[in-house]
Amino acid sequence: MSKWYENAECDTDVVIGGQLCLVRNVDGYPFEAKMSRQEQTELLDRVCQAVREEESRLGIYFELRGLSDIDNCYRSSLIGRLAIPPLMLGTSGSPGLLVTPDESVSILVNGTEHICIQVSSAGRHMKEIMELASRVDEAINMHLPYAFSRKYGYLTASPLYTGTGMSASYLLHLPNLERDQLAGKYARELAQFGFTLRGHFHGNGQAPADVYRLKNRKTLGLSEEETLSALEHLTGQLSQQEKRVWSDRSDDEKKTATDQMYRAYGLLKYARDLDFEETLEYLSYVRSGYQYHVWDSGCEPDIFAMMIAVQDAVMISGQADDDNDIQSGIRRASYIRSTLPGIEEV
Amino acid sequence: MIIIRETMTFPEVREVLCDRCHEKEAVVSIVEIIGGKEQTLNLCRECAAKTAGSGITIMQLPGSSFMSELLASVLGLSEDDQKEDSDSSENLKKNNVICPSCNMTYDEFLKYGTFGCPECYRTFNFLLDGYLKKIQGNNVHTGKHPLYSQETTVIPDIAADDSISDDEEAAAQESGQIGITVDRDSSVDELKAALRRAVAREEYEEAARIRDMIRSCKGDSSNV
Repeated sequence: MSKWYENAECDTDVVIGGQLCLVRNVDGYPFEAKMSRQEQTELLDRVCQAVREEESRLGIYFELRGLSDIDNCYRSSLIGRLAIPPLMLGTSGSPGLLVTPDESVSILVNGTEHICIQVSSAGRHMKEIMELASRVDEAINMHLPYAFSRKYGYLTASPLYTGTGMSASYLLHLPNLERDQLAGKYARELAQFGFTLRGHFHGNGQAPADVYRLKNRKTLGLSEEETLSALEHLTGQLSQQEKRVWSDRSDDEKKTATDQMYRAYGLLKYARDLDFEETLEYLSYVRSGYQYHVWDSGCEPDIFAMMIAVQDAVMISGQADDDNDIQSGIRRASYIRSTLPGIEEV
Repeated sequence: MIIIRETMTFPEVREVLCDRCHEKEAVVSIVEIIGGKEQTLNLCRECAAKTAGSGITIMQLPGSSFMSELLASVLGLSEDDQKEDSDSSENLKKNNVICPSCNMTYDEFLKYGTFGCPECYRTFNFLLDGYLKKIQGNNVHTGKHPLYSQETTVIPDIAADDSISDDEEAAAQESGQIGITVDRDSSVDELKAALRRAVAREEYEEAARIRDMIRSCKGDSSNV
């Protein structure tokens, strides 16, 4: 089944997609640091049971994946595919993951917090994401009481989530702001509103593929609605700025930029050995080509899905065993050649 | 009963000099209650460390995780400070405040950057309120409440209690509220009001007694 990020809506605008996490802890159990294996197993069973009972009412069906016995590579691939927030997966314990086949809704149990509900969607639909996350949250709450105080809100192991326990983020493709070195400046300004703007992919540069994540930093003192409203507003501003920088470019500048997009496309189309960061750099140009209508293709492009797929952990977890000997650079180039859609000049 | 309060978490408090050396700024305020009498001692970090031998301790930060560094910086303890203190660290007892429910110490919280259980929020409340404000910019939740479960951990609102004005106090005294003594037959609301008054008057022994009564009341009602 195709994943939520393999959706054309991920590549049509500045906003790639949105993700929202709700962190909850179950009353009656200590937090992860003080939990025994037995308590973790019991909690996982109880959450699974609660979710199974509510599945039909929610209309969402989950697969359970135990993560304790599975190698780190599979864990990393789940993080790479955005199915688990990276900071939520602890180093010890016996975590379990309830996840829908398209990985748009996931419930991580026994991570650094008892329960982390994550909902993801392509495009800019935070309201719908929040509604769905709340429904899952309430469905679990019908069976399990949450640790909660009127004063501090939802009580979490880390004080960074105390309060709403909510972190909401949009993934944004900001190549023009990055090239004009404006992203860092905006990041500092956004910090004043309690939001962080950081590169999503890890690499040597500040933001490989010019993909940024705009996320709320504060969970105490602001309601969920206020936080989401601020996120929408700031995302709108960033998106406008990104487009304005492009439209304000002179014809010569646009010609140069267009040439770079075609070169990047050519490199991806014919290269035989690609390393991760250069692949992301070229894919960023190619995505700009679609977004600013430099070219068109008959089919849906799925460029962001390609960015996800070329990460080492995701590539290794998806390969057949007999492919082990092939170097990752060669495999990456081969994948890109077979997946990159054809283009037609507009 | 010993309560250690970081004075630097209360920005409205003016710079206080150490009661021992009278030179450096006091960063810790130690309130010791012996036989109902209260003694307050404001100490700088060095003098507080020396006082550790008498059963009062200041946290050392042995961990090096990001969260611990972050918390240490919020607390105003830089790495250099920790190194300076390391000579005397052997003399320090590290368990100044311990969560009765999960046995997590404040040192452990600083080391790992996470709490051990919901009860920790209440245990470390005296120390926590100001820090949460620094980390989060606020210390009062205004968002969603669980739809299908109740409040599980009652945390007294210290910050609000500190802000009770003299007028309100006087009015309360006039109306005779403060004279009311509470016992196990009192309602939860009465107990909560009494708890607020006790904390505002810094009568922590009384506050602890009332808190336990509230807890047992809640326990009774949840068993019904």
